[in-house]
Amino acid sequence: MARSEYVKWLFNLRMVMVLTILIPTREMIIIPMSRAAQEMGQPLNAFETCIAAANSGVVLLLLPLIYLVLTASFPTADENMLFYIVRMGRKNWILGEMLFQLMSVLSYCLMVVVLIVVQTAGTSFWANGWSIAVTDFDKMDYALTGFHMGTLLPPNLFYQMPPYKALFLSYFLLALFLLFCSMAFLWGCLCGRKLLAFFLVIAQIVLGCGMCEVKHVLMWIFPFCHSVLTVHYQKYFRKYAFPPNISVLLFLSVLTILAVLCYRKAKKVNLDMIGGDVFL
Amino acid sequence: MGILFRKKKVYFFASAAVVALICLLGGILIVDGKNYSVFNVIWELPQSAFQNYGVKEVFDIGTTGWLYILVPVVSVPFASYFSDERKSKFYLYLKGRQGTLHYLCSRCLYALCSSAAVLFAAIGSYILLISFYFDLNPNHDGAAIVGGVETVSVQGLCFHIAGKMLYLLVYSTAMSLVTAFLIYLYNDLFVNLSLAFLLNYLLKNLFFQNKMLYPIAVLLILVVVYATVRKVRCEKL
Repeated sequence: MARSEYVKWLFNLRMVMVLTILIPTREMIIIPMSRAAQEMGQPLNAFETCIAAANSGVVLLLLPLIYLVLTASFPTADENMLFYIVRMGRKNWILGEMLFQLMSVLSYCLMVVVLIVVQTAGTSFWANGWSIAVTDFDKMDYALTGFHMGTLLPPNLFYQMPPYKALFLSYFLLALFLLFCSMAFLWGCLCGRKLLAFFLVIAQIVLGCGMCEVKHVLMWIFPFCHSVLTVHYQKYFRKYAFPPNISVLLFLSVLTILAVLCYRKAKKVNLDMIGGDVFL
Repeated sequence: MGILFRKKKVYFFASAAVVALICLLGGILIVDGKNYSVFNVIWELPQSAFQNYGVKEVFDIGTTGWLYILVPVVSVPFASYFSDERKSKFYLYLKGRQGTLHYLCSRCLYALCSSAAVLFAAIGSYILLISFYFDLNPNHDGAAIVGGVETVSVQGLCFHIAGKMLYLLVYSTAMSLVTAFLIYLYNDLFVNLSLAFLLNYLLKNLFFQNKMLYPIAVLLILVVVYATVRKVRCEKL
């Protein structure tokens, strides 16, 4: 079941949308960072652009939105559905759907990382250390450079941890957030409110992003803010603004609750209500 | 034409709002390492901080850069309408009654009018807003400007704005028709808009030159490709 859904998702023509992420990523992150590296005559770390993308407001807003559009037509309810549900049972079906969501989230994050890394891989190094272009660029005369590296890769990341850890944590939190969005959407589908669930998930992403941008104290109510690694750390002190471990724990708890709710709901769901695409 | 504006009015408002937002988010000023957009400058800074900027300069800042990269946003209402029309097969009745050529011309006109409506609404409001806050000829406080200061007349400014609007209109119409052509090949609005964004991004260096030749060349190539695809499809039938 999970494999069938995954293959349908992976070979859907809508996957072209993943490439559109490259436009803001390239314009806002890759080109300025590469230019800064050239000006300093120093190579970038291969993953620094990925880390910057996973901590940038606009890119981080687009990533879940595009993922949601890609998965909006799932779970599929085609003509064969009744046959395979009779054969495998509802419990296996819903477990398969959850497994599909996990696989799609991991593949999506991997695709984003690969698409970003390939653009700078030729001129970067792979060691687990921040590049001089990132750490020292802002010490140069601003009038000459006209650009602040700190706006792309905030110091509260490179002062706190090595790049591999930052990469792992950034994408782990992002993956958990995407999984949360897709599980909430699945729960909405099982309740027969697919369109409403879709717009609620979108609304919490947009609101969370807005709160995160203005750094409002209420931002921690929104799951979006828990997925941005950089806001978890203070700018100058080796202290947390909010411990990332707690964010991970919160995500895992909410995901467990959603999984249990979906599992229980799947036993008595009206199968005619779950299918169809949100976008007709 | 009424159907397009009536049924897709939400898309028109959304597209116009996005275009106006893109114009307002154009970077204008850097103070203490912080990049101020036109919106930030108007909202946060005192008038003395931006008195060096004239309407013409601010208009150019807003209507270049990201607007060129995201110009397929303008084509969303028309693309959505065209996609719906293809899905409902309503175009078959129209084609049968009007003839193919008349139908194609009418859709080109729809694309033009749709782009014009979005652009005029968005950029018109942007011009209105900036004309309240910025002077026609900025005050440089007697500072020596290398190359001298160009004095802008109202007539000169109008010609400048009209030229830019005409270019943007042709450019966005070309992108609308590219999206419509992609819908003709494979009808999924998300896929088509994504491809239009990618294609526009790949060709952005040409469009950034502000030469009318490139959007027109895109239109001509589109006519040839459409004729070829249509011929192949008709032969198959």
